Amino acid sequence: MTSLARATVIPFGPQHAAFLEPVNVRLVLEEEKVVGAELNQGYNHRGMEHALSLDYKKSQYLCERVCGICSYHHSSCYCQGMEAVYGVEVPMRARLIRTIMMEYQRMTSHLLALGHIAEAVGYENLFMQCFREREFIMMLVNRLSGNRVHYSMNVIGGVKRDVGPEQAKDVEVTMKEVRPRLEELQRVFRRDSTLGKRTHGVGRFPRPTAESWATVGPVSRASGIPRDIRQDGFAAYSEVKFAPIVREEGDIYARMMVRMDECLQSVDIIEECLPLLPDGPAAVQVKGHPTGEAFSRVEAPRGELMYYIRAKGAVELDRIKLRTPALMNVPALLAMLPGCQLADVPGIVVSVDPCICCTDR
Amino acid sequence: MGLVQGARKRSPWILHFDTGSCNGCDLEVWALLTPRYDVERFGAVNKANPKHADILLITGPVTRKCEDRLRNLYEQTSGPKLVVACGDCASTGAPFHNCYNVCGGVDKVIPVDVYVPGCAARPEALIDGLVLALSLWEKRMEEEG
Amino acid sequence: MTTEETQLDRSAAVDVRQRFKGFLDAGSRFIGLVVRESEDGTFELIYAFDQGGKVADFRFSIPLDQEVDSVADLYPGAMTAEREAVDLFGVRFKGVRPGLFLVEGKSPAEPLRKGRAGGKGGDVPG
Repeated sequence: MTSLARATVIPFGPQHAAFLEPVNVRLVLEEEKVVGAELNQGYNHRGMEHALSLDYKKSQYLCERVCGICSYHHSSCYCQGMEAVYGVEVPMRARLIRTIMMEYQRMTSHLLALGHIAEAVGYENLFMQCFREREFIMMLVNRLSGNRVHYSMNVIGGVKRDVGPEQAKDVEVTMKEVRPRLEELQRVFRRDSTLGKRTHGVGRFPRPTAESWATVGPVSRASGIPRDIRQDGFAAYSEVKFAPIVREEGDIYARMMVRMDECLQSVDIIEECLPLLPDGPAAVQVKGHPTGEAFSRVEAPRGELMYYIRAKGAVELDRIKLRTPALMNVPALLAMLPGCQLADVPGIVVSVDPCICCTDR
Repeated sequence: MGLVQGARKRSPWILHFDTGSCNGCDLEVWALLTPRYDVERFGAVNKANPKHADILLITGPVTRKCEDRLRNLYEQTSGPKLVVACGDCASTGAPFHNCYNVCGGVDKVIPVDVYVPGCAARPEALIDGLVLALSLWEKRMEEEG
Repeated sequence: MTTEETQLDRSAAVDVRQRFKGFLDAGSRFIGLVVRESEDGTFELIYAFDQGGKVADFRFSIPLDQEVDSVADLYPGAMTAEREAVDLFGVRFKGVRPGLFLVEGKSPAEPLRKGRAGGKGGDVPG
């Protein structure tokens, strides 16, 4: 009973140095050890599912605003779903452009997550380095799409902004420049001993637990589950060869390294896609209000993103449901946190890459 | 301007709070703190503690659950304090202004001094807003003596 | 809706644990739970699974006041999905409490039910 009497409760967040976004974790502590955790979310709940169902044409714009880190994945997933409802085939050129832009967003998102982990374990220098490399990609994306965060390149039926020959050259040159920088970053993440001490064996998430909590994306791949929706071949992923990056350890280090290796894999995929770009239109026209339902899935940086769309032949949609990857990954913290030290909590929370605007919508 | 005021002017500490944003503006606020845009040259450091902060950078439309937290943070910040609404959503509520769980822009809850437009607000615009906030802040310090 | 159908639905709501377990035992992975309010005043519940790279689902309709068995103890990953349904639609899951996203007294209750959300929401220029 004495140990119970000494239990203290510490609230983490909603406004906390380690969190970019508002989420509250209620920690129950015995001395320095975490014995219980409770999540309190909803700080970011705006009501996107209602807003997106009001006008399916305006939703092309609005669905990017669900999340700014994976905005292009949201709009690709939405457009892919609406295309399935319309029953149109998207031109190969548009599918390749979507693939390239999705990989760019994966790189910016992973570099953010990596920097965030580095900062949470107290390695500010590395945080700055991650963001420095990230800016290279942000600027390239800006040149391609005209925007840094919300690319607004998708329409139902394809893409509305083509990638011209000069831009393709730009992509090629920048990728050559970025690759050695990422390799250098990878070397630091892999070898640095202080970073290793804070991340090896911390925040264990074994494979059976990962399976029962239905985690997705890098979190489950770091626990040894070889699952990547890209293998199912949405957009143009059926045209490129790659194998999902899987690690067995299931700790912060594994989650970090999966993301790091995926950044380099993205460079490979982009370089593989570029020469495949065919001539031809980048979009097809769609006509009339559609009827029908569709499940649409893409592999967002945090894992599988699913849209369920049910259209009823009007401007409004009958139902649109977003199943975001963070919605599955964030509650898994309840399984990771108990048993860890208080000082490791920020690192563990950040290692699942919690995207609260996705979780709460 | 006295010594204390001069010193204060060179260290405007920032508190960043996301009240329901899509993360786009948050990332740009973070980009400000990193090598390419680096607002630390104005002395600005991101501090998570409202009692240490001078300038509040608020992103996103204010959701119902964040409303009280935002008010609470504002009250804890010591004066003279400034509020910068970063991006369209923080300024007006923008695409979310009619959503059921959103109160609207930041100015529906606490007074705002500088509005930075953009979706997402570009880092250049944010720096511009921050510099504008600094000049307002200076004026306010003089008024307070 | 006839009584017969209601009878069927009531058993479906109890049956959910069996069917859910069947999908899991077949090696499927739970993706998510979609709730929809139909025109005839019922909830349609769609449990979506990943079955070897394809989406498979089982679905059933229940009256608005029907209690549904929770599967969260079988599969903790389903907990958030159920709490979300409770919050946004007011579906009655056994032993699942509301308060995931919404603040009592401030946010509208069960906002995704038809005609509940108020406001137009998501008003986009153009």
